[in-house]
Amino acid sequence: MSRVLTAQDHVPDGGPGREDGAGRDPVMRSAVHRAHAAMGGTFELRAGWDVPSLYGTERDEVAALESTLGFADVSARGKVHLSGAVDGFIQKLTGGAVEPLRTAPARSGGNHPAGLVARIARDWALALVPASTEPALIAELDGSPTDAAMATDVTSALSGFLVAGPRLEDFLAQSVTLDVADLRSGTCAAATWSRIPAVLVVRELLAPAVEIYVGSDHGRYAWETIRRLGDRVGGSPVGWRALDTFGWT
Amino acid sequence: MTFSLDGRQVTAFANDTIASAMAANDVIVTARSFKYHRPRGLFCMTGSCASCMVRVDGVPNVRACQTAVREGMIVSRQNGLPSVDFDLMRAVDRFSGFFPPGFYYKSFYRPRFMWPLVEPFIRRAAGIGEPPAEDLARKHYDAVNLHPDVLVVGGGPAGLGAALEAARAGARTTLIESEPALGGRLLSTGWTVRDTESDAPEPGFLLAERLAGEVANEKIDVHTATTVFGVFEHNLLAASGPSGLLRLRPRQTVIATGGLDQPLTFGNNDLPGVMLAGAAERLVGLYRVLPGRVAVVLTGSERGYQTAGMLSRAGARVTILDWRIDATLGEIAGSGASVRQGAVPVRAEGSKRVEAMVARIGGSEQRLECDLVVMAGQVVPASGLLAQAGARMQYSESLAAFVPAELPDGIRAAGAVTGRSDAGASLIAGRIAGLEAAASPKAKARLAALMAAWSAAVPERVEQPAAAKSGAKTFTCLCMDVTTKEMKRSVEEGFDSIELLKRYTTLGMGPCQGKSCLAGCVRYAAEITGQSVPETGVPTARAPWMPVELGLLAADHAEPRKESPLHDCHVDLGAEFLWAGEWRRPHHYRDPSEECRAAHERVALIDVSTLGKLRFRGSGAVELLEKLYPNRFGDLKVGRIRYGAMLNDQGVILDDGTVGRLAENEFFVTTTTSGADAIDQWIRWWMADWKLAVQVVNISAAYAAINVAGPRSRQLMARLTDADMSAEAVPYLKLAQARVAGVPAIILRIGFVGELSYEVHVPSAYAVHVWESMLEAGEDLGVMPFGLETQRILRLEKQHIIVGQDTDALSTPYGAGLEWMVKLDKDDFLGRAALAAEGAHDIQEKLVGFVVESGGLPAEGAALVRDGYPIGRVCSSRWSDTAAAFIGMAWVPVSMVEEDKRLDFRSNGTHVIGRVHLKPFYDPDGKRLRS
Repeated sequence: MSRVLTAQDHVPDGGPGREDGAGRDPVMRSAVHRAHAAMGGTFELRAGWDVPSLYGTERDEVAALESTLGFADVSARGKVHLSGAVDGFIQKLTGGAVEPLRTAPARSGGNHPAGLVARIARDWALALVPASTEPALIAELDGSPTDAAMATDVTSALSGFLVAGPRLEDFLAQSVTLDVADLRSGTCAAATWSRIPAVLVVRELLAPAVEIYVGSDHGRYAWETIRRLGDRVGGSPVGWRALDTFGWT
Repeated sequence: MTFSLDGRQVTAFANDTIASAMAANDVIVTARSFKYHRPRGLFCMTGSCASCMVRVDGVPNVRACQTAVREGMIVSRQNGLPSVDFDLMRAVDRFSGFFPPGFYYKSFYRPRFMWPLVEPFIRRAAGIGEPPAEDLARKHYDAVNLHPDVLVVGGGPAGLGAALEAARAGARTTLIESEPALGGRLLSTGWTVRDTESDAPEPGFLLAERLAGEVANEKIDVHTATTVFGVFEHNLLAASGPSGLLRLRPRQTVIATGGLDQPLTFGNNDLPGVMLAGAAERLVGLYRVLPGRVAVVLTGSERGYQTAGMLSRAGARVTILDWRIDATLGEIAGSGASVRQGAVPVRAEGSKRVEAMVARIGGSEQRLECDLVVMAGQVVPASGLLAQAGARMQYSESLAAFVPAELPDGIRAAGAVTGRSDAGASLIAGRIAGLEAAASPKAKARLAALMAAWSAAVPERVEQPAAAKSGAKTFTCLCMDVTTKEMKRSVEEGFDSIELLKRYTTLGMGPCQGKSCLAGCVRYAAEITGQSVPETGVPTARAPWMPVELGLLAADHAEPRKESPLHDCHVDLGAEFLWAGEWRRPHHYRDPSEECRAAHERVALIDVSTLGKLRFRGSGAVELLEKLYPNRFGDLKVGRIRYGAMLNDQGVILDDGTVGRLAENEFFVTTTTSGADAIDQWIRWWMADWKLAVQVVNISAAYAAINVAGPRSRQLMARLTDADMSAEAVPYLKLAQARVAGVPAIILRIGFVGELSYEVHVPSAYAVHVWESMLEAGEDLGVMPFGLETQRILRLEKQHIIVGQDTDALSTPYGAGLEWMVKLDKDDFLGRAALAAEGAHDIQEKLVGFVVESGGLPAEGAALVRDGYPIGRVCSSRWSDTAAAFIGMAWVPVSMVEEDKRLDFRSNGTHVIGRVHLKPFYDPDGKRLRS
């Protein structure tokens, strides 16, 4: 097999990488890492990623998710771009078929844990898995490359943000031209979000939730926009500890 | 509550608008007019004219009649010099004969020095309001997208009925009303209105209250004080209100915008104290303000008698002047007014307020002293939004007005906007429209019941009296100060169609957008052109239907930007940034000369993460590359790189970059920064046709890229990777995959800046780690980051082109010095037919390097001239320490492509002499690059 090297090639155990020639420990950071620090965020290492753990107290952050709106940087999530005749990939992942604009749970298998598949179009899907597990997923899906379909690691290519809470609809109405009512749990869409291309994955956790994936080069712009629009509906940033409690995986 | 009006404290009630508070405080002159600075007073009270526009807390042109008072707000009246009450500019009115329509096209242009002197005066004298202060220019406007099943525009009887029925039928319903409260004209209506849903008629204001209560109990998304100002393509409607800009994309829309009172044409019909019937009704019925003690009501219909009754009951002494000679006197019952029939209004008299009304009665003029003149004339459909939506308007002889005759899909109309002015009929029409819009299969019985209650009776026709000779200015368009005399003169000058008249006189182009004047203007245009009203027609309706703050149109304006994953590192290093397309990129960190030296003598780093990057995989990948590029890729070995330029089908250079072969069927392709997305689309577009066995994925953002350049770059790389980076292991144009700083990387041995260099691509999540590792590991090697400016100097020294900077929409490889790349013996590639065509090689100009001999730096874009005529142009130019000269690249005629040939440039008025320099200025044989 030959493929473009992925970010996790050096972290087979899913943990932080080894010491390298320059004496530094490679750590992965999202495009908005510095912004989290400026907001008072504290960090923790998760599967090689330095992720924001808390901004305030976990209790307040969970309360925001449950009562108004919380938004979090989930760029560390593993993301695999499936292109071409993706039915085979989807069958392997979910054990069935998934219609375009729908999502389905992805089963664990081989060396990768369970995740989510968002089928955006007939020839395009996004597999979302826990941080640093995407190499295992790619190995399983695309171990024997064919012309018809391809799995590409886009973990670094996409910044991901979770926005969740009862005020989600108000938040989305400010940022997408789609009919928010059509964005029901279990759906996904490629859409213009706040003037940039994005993939929206709608989920139902303890409250309505959407994951917004944008190019990581737009990551800072997207985070600033989420904060601005989120502030307007009383939202606040939340860290990964609150996400754990909230049931996000 | 109190607020400030022109610096004095004014008291108001909580539900007052600024306009009603002004009226209650005897502020009669509310503004000065656009052109003649005539005093203007409250006129429509529905936001349909410009007469009460004021400045509120620094925001100009706020409609006072639509704006609720707030404690402490600062209001000032507009257009007075020094004040609205005493305006020196009123003198313009005395000399109006010198300012006919379009006078600025025909005056002051000779002698030529006149216009620059006069123009500032005209600009200052005319107009409405002044721009807001700069801090307001930074005001933020929110924007929200809404997608109701049914959108109802208008919260009067028809709109309320429509919203209620649509919501009850299960449709997600949004109701937009421009007033602060629901009810429309019902709110100020004291007389009874019959709702077929209730047992007995109710006073209008009570009915409004009941319906508003019912709306509140339904799941209706209500937006009051919000105005729909435009209908655009694909069923997009835009509204402005307290929540900012609403972008509405409903499945069905019910337009229930009601009717518009039309003014009468008589002399001084703009005097303060002369107002439309609706204005008087609102002041009395809604705000309990009596606008005058002695009133004259001009009418030709029952409406005038109702208004007169209201005024009379409120304590005014009222005289009705009815221009009909055979009015049924039964209408007088209850009005409490004296009536004169056959009375044609001639002129109002007064200075800053109406003092008398002169009418022709029985062949002679009679003068009635008064302090209020109420015009209860025709009510025409407020059909602007319908017309914008594409409704066909047709003249109704029975109504003497243009009414919507054919509606586009998804649009319905109900109530007075269709020509029906009766509130009860509007309510039931609205109910039917709302139910139909909801399209609920369960609502059939309900719809049948409503239809049975519906009466198709035609409302009474109201004739407006013809304009009488008055000896005073008679305005047809108040917003723009257009008079009957000016319209007549314009027609005599040949502007004899309504569209031409509109453009020449600017009638209907003011803030009211024709709401308070268009019907009258059309009627008068018909009269003076000898055409019928239907023949005259109405001008095209365009957005905005209501005045909108410019900032709102850019609401929630966000400027998307792209930033490299190393952006914060650049900030830390003190980079100065520039916009490169959508990207923010470091222009420089320190003096570019210093950065150049680091690259030439030591080692330097530049962030090139912005490059486009594509992954090609599949057995058809080679064929795809062969079709996309003019050069050959089938023979490219695994682990090797080749430069290529993509062409369009005319053979013009679109983009350039490198192609690296990762495996037999897998390639890593780079594009320019600005071309990444366009090339991705370009490839997909062609792939849809070619149907090759290949997958292409845009991985631009997946990889950060750092170019490590300079003679010590190999040393630095060796410290960061265990892989062999020697010239033998990784020669020029070799691709390697190895860990750099512990991170998996794709390493390209290429050299845009002309030095030994490695372009290191790593997953962007690791970018900061790798960048910091490089700076740390290279500290003793004198490593230094460099920005775009240095990159541009270095590549210019090598005469490496930048597509888009050095090429344009006509540049082919033959002219750009890339002819070596074109392999016409290939079967096919994009642009081959054009490049293979006879004469394709007979190019007129070529891209060459040049060095300046004298005259300084020629600007990019400067013309190459011969005998004073341009024959070429400079596309890039910089100072080069290496060449110790200004150097550049220019397109020159083929005949001048000769080493040392003299080039004459005209640059910003100076003469620059240069010499053609065909070889790179730095390392012409490429030894350093390949070292």
